[in-house]
Amino acid sequence: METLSNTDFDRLEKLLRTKRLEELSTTEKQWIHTVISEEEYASMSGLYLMLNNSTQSLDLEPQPAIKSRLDGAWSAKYKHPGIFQIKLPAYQTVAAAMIFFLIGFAINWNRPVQPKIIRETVQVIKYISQPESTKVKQHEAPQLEQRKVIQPTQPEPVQPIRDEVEHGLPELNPEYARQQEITMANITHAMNEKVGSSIGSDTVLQKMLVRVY
Amino acid sequence: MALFKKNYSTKSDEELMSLLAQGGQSAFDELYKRYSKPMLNFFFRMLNNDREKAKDMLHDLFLKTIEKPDSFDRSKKFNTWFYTLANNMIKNEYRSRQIHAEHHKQILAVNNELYEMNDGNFDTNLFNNRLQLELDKLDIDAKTIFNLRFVEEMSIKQIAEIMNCPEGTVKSHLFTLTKLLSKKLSIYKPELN
Repeated sequence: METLSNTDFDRLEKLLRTKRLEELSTTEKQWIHTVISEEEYASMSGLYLMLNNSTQSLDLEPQPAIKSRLDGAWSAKYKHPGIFQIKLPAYQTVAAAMIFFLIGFAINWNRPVQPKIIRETVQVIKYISQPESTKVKQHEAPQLEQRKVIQPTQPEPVQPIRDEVEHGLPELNPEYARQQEITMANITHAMNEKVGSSIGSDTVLQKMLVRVY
Repeated sequence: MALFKKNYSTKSDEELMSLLAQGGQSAFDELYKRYSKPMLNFFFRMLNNDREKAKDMLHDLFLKTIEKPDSFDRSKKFNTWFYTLANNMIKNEYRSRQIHAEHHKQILAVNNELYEMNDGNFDTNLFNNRLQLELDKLDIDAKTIFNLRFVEEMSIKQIAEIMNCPEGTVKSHLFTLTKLLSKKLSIYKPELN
């Protein structure tokens, strides 16, 4: 700016925007002469007025498509990832697992222990490990010769009993028959244990039968 | 939910920009509502009335706001910062293509045609075309200053910030421009002479 200072420009522009040449006062005209000619002022004030009118006429509206594209860009940037798409560092995953484990442990620790209610019982059968020592009374068998009394306290004489079974003993005396059966069961049990086949492999029914014997 | 909806229309541009940086889409919508139209018209004038290019530039300008909201200089007013962004985009566009020369011929042809059709009966459109033609002859800085002052009606201080130059330079440009244009366009306002 050759002759116009900043302050002078502000004053000149204010006059150009508000007043035509004819509307200027004498004092203002005198000041104008120090800056520009009257012709220049008239042209410039006319331009200001025309600009004031013309610039209002241009009024473009942005299309909605622009906003839609921008909304798409916004969503792409600020879209919240799904819960299964969140990437976690390994140490955070391990820490979370530890926390869950400790919480579960604490819950079980504080829980009161409830008494167990037994609804089913199993009968345990005690097998005879040793032959019972039973005193056998001596009976006289009618019309039969006197027999030798067997001493069941000694398990050694297995063979004589077997022999007697083979020969067919009289079944007239039930007491004697029962003792014989007990003896046979004991012998069978002892033999099984010796051979290695445990009685534990028997069925419950077999065990019960044994007990009855 | 309407009870909890914030009223963004009463917030300042700077407040909206802060909310936008925190991911507030409503703040962005409000800023778009306020500035899309003036910015589109600014681009339209600065890019020699290229409507399609002006739309693209408007989109790119708001896209920059979405992508880099932190680049907002809080020491400046929002509209000053926004127009600075726009001005930089226009300068890049001018550098990338010879927009100046292309449009000069186009406007001249339209102007002559209108002059013949109207038989000396000048109207506002004709004046605008001629004004655009004269502005296209100027360098980009002078054209920007002219538009910011007479169209966007910004203060000298704001223009100086946008152009990154002293206020005195802006005033000097404006005084020279006004004198030059008043001479060249005096024919379009015979009633004022």
